[in-house]
Amino acid sequence: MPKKVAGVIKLQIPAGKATPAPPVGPALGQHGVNIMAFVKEYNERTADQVGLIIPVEITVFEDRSFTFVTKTPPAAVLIKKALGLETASGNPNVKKVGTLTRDQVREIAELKMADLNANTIDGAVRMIEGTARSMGVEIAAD
Amino acid sequence: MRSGVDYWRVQVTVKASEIEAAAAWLIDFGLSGVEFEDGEPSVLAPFTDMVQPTDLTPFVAGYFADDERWPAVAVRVRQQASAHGWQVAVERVAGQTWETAWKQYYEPVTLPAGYGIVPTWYESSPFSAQKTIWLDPGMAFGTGTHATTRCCLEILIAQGAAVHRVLDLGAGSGILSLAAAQLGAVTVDAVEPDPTAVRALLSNIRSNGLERRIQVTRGTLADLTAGPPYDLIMMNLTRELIIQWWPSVRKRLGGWAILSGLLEAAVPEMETMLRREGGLRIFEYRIRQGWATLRIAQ
Repeated sequence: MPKKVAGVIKLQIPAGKATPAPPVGPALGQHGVNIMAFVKEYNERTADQVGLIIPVEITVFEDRSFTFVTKTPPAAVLIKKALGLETASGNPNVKKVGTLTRDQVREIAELKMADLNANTIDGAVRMIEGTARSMGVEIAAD
Repeated sequence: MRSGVDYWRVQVTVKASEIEAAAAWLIDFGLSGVEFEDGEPSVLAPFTDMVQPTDLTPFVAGYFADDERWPAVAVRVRQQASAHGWQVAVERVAGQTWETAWKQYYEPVTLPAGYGIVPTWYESSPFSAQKTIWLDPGMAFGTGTHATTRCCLEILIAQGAAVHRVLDLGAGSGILSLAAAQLGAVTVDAVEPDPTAVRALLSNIRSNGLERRIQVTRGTLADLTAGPPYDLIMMNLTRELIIQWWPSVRKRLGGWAILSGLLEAAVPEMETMLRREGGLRIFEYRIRQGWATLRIAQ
């Protein structure tokens, strides 16, 4: 019989370097999860991706045990990495912070295909472009 | 336990398609991560009894320490969110609420042979006095419920620890040191670099009245003064730390050892490491929930 689920928590936290500090502590603590047990397990399983922030979905069961699934790094993180950006634009409509080539967009879209809610690579490309625009990143005309 | 720091939880309501951009934007304010809801069904939903809510509002939330920088940060967050067309809601979170919230679910843990772990906030123990380990893990690792700790404890209890000298590397809450002392070890060196864990460790040693048998060193193996070889060395660490410290540990090992905190996939690497050195063999593998614990000896 499947275990009863008490809640689902979604976080974006640094691979291999998570700590009990927020957002991990408050998000997990309120569900009764042993925070250090999660941190240890998450860091061990993501040690090979240090340097990236990755999304993780944590399922908490009624007995307070938990399991988690990590996803590919967010498109925004990959966009910043591709352009060597420190930060995105605080005001994307006015201040542009960089330009992605079509090839860069496609490369990120291919990496993200597994997680994106897109059936085709063109759909994934459009999602990446949307994320880029809301960060103040333009897409090269060609 | 009170951390002394309260937080402001900033929740930004966005469109599902804007989650990743909003998360990156919030993290740029200097946060180490964010909480979010993208409205997507849980990946585990098909395998559990989960009823998937259909009306989840997508959001991104970050926690800012309530310090002198907060008022200025709050203004910038609001200004920039409004430029994006995002709504912001701010709520104060007390530091202590989440640090201790999970404790209400932490109950006595039954171990083999009549031994058991009891939270220090319990008035009495369901186990006999000689077989009770009192524990308040605080924010340190080691409640006895995690597969790695549990397997270490099972091996300790099965093998006994009535030896002279024990070393516990990365002692955390001290659970393994306490168990070794309860099982008869004459002296235990508990080594732990993290100051928060050291506080928990010292208080647990006091709760069990084992101050004369467990010595705490804040630091690493390198900070431990030289002495005769250890009869038992326990390392519930990570694969990387075990590999890093193994050459120094090997020099100080005169008996048997427990290696844990390893994913099952790391076992072949440990076998290779031991084979290369020669002299030591793996006598027992305990694999649980994808984690491996090894008992090794001459």
